[in-house]
Amino acid sequence: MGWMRQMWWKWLSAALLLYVIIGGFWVPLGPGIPSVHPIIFKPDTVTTFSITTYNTHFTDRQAGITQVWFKNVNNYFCPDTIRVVDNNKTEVTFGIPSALQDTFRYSNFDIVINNDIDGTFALRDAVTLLKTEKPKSDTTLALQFCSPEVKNNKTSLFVFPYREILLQTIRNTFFHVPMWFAMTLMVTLALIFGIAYMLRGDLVYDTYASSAVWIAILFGWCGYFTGVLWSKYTWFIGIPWSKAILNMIYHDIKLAGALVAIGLYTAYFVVRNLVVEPHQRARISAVYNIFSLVFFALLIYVIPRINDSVHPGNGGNPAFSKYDLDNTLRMFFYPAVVGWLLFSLWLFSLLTRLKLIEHSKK
Amino acid sequence: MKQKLLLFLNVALPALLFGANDTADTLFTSELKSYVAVGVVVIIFFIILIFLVWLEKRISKLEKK
Repeated sequence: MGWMRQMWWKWLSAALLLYVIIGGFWVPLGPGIPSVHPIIFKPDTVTTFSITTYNTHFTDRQAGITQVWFKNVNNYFCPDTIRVVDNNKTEVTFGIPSALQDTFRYSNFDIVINNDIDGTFALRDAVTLLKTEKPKSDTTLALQFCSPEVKNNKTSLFVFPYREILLQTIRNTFFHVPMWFAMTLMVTLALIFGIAYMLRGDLVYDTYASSAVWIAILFGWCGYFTGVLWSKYTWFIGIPWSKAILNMIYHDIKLAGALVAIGLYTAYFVVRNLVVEPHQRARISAVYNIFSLVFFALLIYVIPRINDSVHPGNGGNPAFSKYDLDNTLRMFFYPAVVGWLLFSLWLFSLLTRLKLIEHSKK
Repeated sequence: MKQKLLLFLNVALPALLFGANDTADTLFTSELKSYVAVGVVVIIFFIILIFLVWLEKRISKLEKK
């Protein structure tokens, strides 16, 4: 039982990851608008828009009245009629007189929906007004300005946020991001143990450092694999895998930098294997670790931020925390970070102990 | 065979892992599929966990020797 008690932090990591896997996969996605038909409308015509929604509760008694608005810049307009077809479908009619068309400098309208269960959700630039060249002045169509009044903006459901493009892949936040945190922790440990070897000259520290690099590479590949999968189903939808991977490597500095960083640490073992004498190998490895960490930080954290990149948090793009990491995601994201970091330390301790046993046998 | 493999890589695997799809109508709209997906991932996780605990015990024994 003693070893069980000593393993408490390992059990904690397993429990946290189990919680993250089950909760992260099971919690449904919040209400959103995947599509609207038609997406273009002409002035002086009352158009019926069919709005398809996801995970909404229009027909639920507790949802109350479902409200729909057309939003242009900061102005809200009410549709003429709203007809709820079923829980995930509603039809609205809306028209704009051509005499007023030039008041809209921006031709795109967001569609905003609210009810008591689903809260407020929207599809940005959902429909476009196709302006006519000959505006009529005698139209009978009236444009209704609205000032929206809602009971709740936030959904009352326990759901992950519905984000355009990301959709269900938002769950990958619990896997992809902590994998890189774990890799960063491991390469930092490798650096610390490398410096410890240089200061004390004990080969045990070299064993620690090389184990940390092994685990760093493992988590690096896991982070890269989850990133590739994520980008394929968000940025490269409909593009064949071969082209998508080439795009990832050649056209995005963050993704290419990550691959180079993993390669840099893989080369660490090539360098180690070239030197036979243990102390010389440990010294060279320690120095290599210092340089590698500098390049790792440059490739992963610095260069993508000063160049163009589609990756969140780089090239001027907002990071997750600013818009997407809501409180429900946080309930799983923070345990995921702690869980994966502890899990990486567990793997590191196992590998180190195995190596030390191997060394003691020699 | 290649078609099946491609289908698995392109559709089934990401759907299983993230419920990713071109549209919002995905894996998690079906309760049965969500049970299967979560079940598969949890089973894989438990296999890894059992292996690690076994490794832990084995290393402890070797260390005592």
